[in-house]
Amino acid sequence: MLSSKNSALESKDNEIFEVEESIAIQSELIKTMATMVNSKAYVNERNQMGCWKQANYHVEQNNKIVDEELSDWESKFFEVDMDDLHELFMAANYLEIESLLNGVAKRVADIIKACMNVEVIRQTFGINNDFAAQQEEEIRKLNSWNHI
Amino acid sequence: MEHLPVEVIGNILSHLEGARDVVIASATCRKWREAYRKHLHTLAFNSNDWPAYCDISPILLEILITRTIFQTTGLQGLSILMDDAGEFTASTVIAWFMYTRETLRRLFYNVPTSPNVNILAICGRQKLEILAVAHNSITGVEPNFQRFPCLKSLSLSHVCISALDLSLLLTACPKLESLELVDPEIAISDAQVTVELSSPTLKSIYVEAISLDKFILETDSIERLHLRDCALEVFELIGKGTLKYFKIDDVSVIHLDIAETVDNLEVVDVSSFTIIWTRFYQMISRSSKLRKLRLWDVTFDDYDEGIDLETIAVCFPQLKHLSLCYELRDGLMHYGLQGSSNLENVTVLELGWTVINDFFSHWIEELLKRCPNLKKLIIFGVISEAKSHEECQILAKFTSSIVRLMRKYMHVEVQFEYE
Repeated sequence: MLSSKNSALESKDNEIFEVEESIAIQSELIKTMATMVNSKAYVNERNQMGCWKQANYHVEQNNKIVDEELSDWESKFFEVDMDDLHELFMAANYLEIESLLNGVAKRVADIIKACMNVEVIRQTFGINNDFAAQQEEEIRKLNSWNHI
Repeated sequence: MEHLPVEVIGNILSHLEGARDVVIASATCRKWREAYRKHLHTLAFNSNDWPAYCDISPILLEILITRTIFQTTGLQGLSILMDDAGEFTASTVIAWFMYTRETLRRLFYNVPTSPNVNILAICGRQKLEILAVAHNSITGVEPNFQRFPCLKSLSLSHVCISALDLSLLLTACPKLESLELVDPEIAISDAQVTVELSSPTLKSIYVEAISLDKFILETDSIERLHLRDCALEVFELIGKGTLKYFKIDDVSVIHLDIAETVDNLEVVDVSSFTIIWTRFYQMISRSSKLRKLRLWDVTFDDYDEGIDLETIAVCFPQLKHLSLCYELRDGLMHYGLQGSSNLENVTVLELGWTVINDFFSHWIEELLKRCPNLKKLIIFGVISEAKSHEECQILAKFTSSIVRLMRKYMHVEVQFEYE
């Protein structure tokens, strides 16, 4: 039996998670859905687990506000490969958990910073260069940080 | 990354902060460029971010910054912190602030402008939550026309402002919670340099490098007060007992009055200060909730008998953390150790002295006896560069006596910090 403070969430692969209410409502989506009957969050199991872990940690830490510890734990939490990072992003975006979104965004930003130039960024993230040659030239002129 | 919405990419680019990184990343593909142009919320031009900034002349820097800012839309956080960049032209700086005024929530700016720009008048006021200005002058504050309805945090560093304008500025910020004042140049209109500030919402105040005849703070919500490197004749805090954290560091005050506000004090941290213990103690004697007391590099008036542990133990029963470092003249030490009340709740003890010798180790021993629940002991010592043979011997003897001492307190963790 569920205690009154817990919500039951079913994932895409039919796994049921029991999550304490204060943590569940970190997700804006769940908060809204909580009023609806028979609602489901369409996120796969592994990343939902990750999301709730992170949300749980945030709720706990809100009472202590220890920034150093938080960033230590989070940097380990986000040391996953690109695919997982992408999944986490999609999950965080869909569930609308702001703290998780910002955590993943920070991690991706760090990866970008470590890239030396545009080409390396494209390779790391598998991005196709879809600029027309003329556009690219215009952009280069406008943003000539390297030429100054 | 192809499926991520462009707003999410905008958020990622915003976490890069450094403008150069943002511009480079935005050149990867159309979506990322759109993210930079339409969904970037934070942008920073900080001299710490890119070493080559110092090689660029102020004029070129202005062009670079203008081009980059003007390609964005809806910027919420803008930071231009260029140390040693020279000066920016007033008209250019005005253009930056006007462009972002509708949406800006956080502004950090520290470059002198020529001629002076009245930043408060130009920057967006409606949504501004954090404002940090340095190396500029602030004049003609009009609290009726220039209100900052959302401003929570204000920092003024090396700014030139009159005492009146400073006090008017606070009245223009109905939600202000944090104020930081560093090395201001307070323009004075009469012989006495007096600053009187009043704010019902201020929770945290930090003042550094200020020299005044009179400094009066009236704040009903204040929780944190930190003064550093100040020379004040009179300092008065008027409040309602909300103060929790009080720290003074290298301050000279002739008349210090925080008496009304001490009932809920949790941390008192005094360093590099001359104390008259009886007077100081009277000031904080009602702070029965005190958790941490730090008296570091303090000196006592010649006629003062100094700190006594008995008083500390009896009046601050909830004390968890005690840090003491002062000159242990023979008479002082013995007086201080009179009585037998224990510091029951102290779990962390930090003890320091400028001279390492027998007195010091004896004092440490006595204090250990009075802290039955101690978990951690940190010993601070100063070691002179030129160590004579005699000094080395004394240090060795000290170390041995501490080792012997700590065998009786095996459960206590010991750390040493020497400088």
